[in-house]
Amino acid sequence: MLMFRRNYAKRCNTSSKFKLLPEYKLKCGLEIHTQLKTENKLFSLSTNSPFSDVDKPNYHTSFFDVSLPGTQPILNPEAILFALRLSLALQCKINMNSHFDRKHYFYGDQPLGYQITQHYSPFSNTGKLRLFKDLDSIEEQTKDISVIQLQIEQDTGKSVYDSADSITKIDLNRSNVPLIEMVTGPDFTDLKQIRAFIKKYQNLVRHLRISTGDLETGAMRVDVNISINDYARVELKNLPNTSSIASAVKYEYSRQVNMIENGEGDKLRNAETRGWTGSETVKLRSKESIIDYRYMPDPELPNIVLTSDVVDGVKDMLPVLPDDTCMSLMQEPYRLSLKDAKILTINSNSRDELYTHDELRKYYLDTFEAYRSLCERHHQEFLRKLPANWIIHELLGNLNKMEITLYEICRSLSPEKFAELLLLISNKTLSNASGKLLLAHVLNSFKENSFAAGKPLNFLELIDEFELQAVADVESEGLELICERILAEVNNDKMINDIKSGKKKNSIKFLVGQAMRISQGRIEALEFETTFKKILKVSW
Amino acid sequence: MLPALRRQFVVTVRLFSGKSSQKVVGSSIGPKFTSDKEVEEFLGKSTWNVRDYVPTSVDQKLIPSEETVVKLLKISGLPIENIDQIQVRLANQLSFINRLHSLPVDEDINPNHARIIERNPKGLDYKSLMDRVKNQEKSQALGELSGSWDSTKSAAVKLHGFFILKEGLLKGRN
Repeated sequence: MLMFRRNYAKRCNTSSKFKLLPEYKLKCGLEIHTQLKTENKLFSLSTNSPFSDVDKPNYHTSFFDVSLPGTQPILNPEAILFALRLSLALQCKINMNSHFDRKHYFYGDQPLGYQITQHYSPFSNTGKLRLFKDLDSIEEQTKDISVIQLQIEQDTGKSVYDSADSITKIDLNRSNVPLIEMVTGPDFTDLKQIRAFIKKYQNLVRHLRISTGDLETGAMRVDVNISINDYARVELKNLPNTSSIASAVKYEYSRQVNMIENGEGDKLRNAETRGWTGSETVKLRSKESIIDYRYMPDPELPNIVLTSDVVDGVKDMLPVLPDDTCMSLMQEPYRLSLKDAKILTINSNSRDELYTHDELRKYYLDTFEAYRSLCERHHQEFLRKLPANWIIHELLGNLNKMEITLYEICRSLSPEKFAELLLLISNKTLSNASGKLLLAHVLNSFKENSFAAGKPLNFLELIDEFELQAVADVESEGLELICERILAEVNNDKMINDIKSGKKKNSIKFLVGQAMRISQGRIEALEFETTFKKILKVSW
Repeated sequence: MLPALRRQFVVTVRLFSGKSSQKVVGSSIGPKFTSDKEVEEFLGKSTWNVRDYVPTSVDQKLIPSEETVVKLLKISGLPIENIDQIQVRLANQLSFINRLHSLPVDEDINPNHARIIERNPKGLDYKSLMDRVKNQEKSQALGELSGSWDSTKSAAVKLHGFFILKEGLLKGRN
């Protein structure tokens, strides 16, 4: 048996090039559980903090959370607010009169003996999330993924199995933490769509500030329903991250195709649940062992009855959604590239120690406006790309390198101040290279002085102090002298010939770099490039 | 407070039967109670007795199969033992519930709303929702303050703040 499994795993190896076969159509749907980051738990007001106190098990537990007899659930209204936000962002139809049900099953980390969920009358239904070719890197121009329903439910506690002592340690800090279960239609037909949807949904819950959306911590858990052609669906569970999800789908697809091709298709006629071990999917439950959950309406919780006023009110307070923000940043007046617009819109990592995409976007937009009005006031040409180039590339690069937060920077280098720096660059008081040096110096000084409020930042004084003024009117003879000296020092005929012929155009950058070093960055690189081209009689 | 108490009492009985049972308690919504004494008198008045509905002999037709009992025990996480006794107990409970179900009830009430709590709560508006979100207060009386009580204190088996489940409790009951 062990041999068989090992061979089987080999046949379904997902590391070799995976390809969907046209005669075997993949059909997938997702079930995503998302922990809500409400201040308190779902049916009690004990603190919702499932991760921060790992060293204090059972610390955030009320009498209800540990199921003391006689305690009753009281719904936390914040969960309704968060569920409304997500439902509206997913264009769902809100159920104005939903209710809770009990789903019975026995497990150590669920002391009630049942989970309170919404089985018969979920919170909302029939929504959708649209994926776009450009924004989400899918093959199709657009792809709508239907959302069947959203339901509010409670999380279980956590079991830690101690194999040495053959015991299970139960921590109920997570017990009764609010979850939203979102179920999509079986609309996914390839892996790119699945990856894109998970990323987009993750970004959405973060953007709406309702969840951390982290797969790694279990704040977001994804189950995949997969079927091929008209065979029964298989539910895949225990998928801790995006790569596991992709690998499990690939493995399961190959496994089912192999079975069909080997004449074992009949074994795929009944639905089953399988888990992912990290290298293969294994059967957890089949039709015969399906659990009877004995659902019943929860008699202790009133229906969630909403008025249209509450739906309208929450809708009005929804932030602009990431897709709309991204698209507006790619249009006038910003005209950002897709890549830059995504950096300002999509939060790929919720551990925003240094900056969040919201903070960064605000900094960019404020700087853009401040710089534009400075240009108008000083009758300078407004260089539209300058704010993005300097914020997304230079400023962020420095923040990451020096490990300082955008929040701290804002206290000394406000968007208005940053706009002054941009003006000095665009009116050629500072060369690009000197601007970079100056920015790095300023940030470093802030850090060294622990961001203490000192003398207001004055770029002109600093430029004087470090003699960073751009040499504006360089005589062409002077430039030619420097360039000729460099060509002589480099003394590399092959490189010079390759530059002349256009075979290696980029080599000219090396020469320009040498010139910038000699001039300490105070002369614009373009001036040197033009001079080198003139001396070498380059025609490209 | 008093009418609410009375309403709750009626609804509780309704829930117990699975259907409306105002006729069981022999009362429709009448005048408000005006004193604790009236409440005590009302509750003290015996209008029916549970024993009237508990069968005196086992109805053989209602005895669930061994297979059903084993399944129920399994999904309830209970040890699979004393099957005979459980079969008799379940048959008696079924008989009791059947009696309650056969009582005349007000069919106009939607049984889906058979709950202890208010059936038709007032719809939540935006202001109320936001106020309720803002004004959440933890209750010491419900143990909602983190670390304010030791939840494992009364547990017979515990370790470093964890409740402990012996492996045997989960295994060997299939």
